[in-house]
Amino acid sequence: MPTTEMTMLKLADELGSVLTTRTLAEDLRARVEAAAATNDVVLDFEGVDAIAPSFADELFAKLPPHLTQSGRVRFENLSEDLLALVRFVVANRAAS
Amino acid sequence: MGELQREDNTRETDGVPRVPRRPDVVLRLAGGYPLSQIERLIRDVLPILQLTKPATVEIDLQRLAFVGPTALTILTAALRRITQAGLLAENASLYMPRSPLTRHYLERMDFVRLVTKDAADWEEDFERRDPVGFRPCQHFAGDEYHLVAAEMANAVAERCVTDTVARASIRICFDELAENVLNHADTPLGGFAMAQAWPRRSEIEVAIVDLGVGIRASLTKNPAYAHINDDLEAVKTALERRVTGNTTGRNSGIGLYITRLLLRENGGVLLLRSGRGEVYSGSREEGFGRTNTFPGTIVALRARMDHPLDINRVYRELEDADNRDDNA
Repeated sequence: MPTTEMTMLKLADELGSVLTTRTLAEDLRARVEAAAATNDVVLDFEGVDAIAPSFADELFAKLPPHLTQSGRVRFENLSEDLLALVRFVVANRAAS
Repeated sequence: MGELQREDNTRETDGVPRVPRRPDVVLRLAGGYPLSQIERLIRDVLPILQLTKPATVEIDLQRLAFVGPTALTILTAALRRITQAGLLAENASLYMPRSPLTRHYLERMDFVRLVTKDAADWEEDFERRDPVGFRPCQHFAGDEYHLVAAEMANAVAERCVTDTVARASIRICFDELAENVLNHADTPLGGFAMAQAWPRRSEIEVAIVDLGVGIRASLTKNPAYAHINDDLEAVKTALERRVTGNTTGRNSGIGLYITRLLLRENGGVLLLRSGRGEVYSGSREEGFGRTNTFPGTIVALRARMDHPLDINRVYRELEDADNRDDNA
């Protein structure tokens, strides 16, 4: 039976405790989408204090929804505050 | 084409330039230019901002007594433009403030370095220390804005911000505002930014200035806002949610909106000025149609560091407000 490998990205380690800048999120999203073609992907937000709206919009709102709906891409250790931001940017983009 | 040259006026007592002449344009600043006097500064700097062909120019700051971060950023941008765009018909004189305090402040904030070619020839009569509590005026273009935003946030946070989320909130505001310059100003000159903390007042002030196309020209690229033919309406509209001049879908029009909400919660102030439109958003929001046209965009914010500055709280409240709207 084939096994699926998992790619874990610890964002605080890679980008620091404050995630800003649309272009950084764009690069991250491209990496996530490429990894998700073959692996399950987990984005770990432990140690992240805050996320800029543009970063969140680029990462969460532009990520193909089927990747999260299928569980192929998962977010871990997102605080309630940051989950509110994620829901907000997704709704914001859907409405625009 | 000429350069801006600093004149040695520190030993003079009569305020008369060493070489009397009649330049086409004289920029003379006197007194103080805090955030509340930005309109007066724009009026005074307007002859420089409106230059479109080479002219002889003199910059007289001898009676300048005080200049705040926003005014200094505007002045720096205006002078940098005339040198970079080749608008000086010959070398132009820059007379620095007679007040040592004001002169040192301008030097410390890198005003002289940014607007003259010969800054290195002048020995500063004060000791420069690492910038703690302020970030000197910085010129940025392209993706440099990310580093500038981080440096500004760190510099002011070191002096009067201890809370992690407040630091993060400041950094995010800077980043969002500076990115707007990159996305919307459409100018090869880039943007100018400066930050200053006042620990005794528990306040920080940040200014981001560009001399680009301005908010109305940027916004009306989007057909949804093509009907806007007034600067004040454009500035007010730009502060609303989901408003962007970009039609490619790259931006979502929430950065400025969230910054405004964050400062309102904090008890701070956001000033947005472009063309003749100005919105001053503080404890109450006021819009002004000004007489003088500013060719570009000024964003200035003043935040109180003795009040919560929590961007995560703004996110929660935005979601709550959306849920209330959905249930209504």
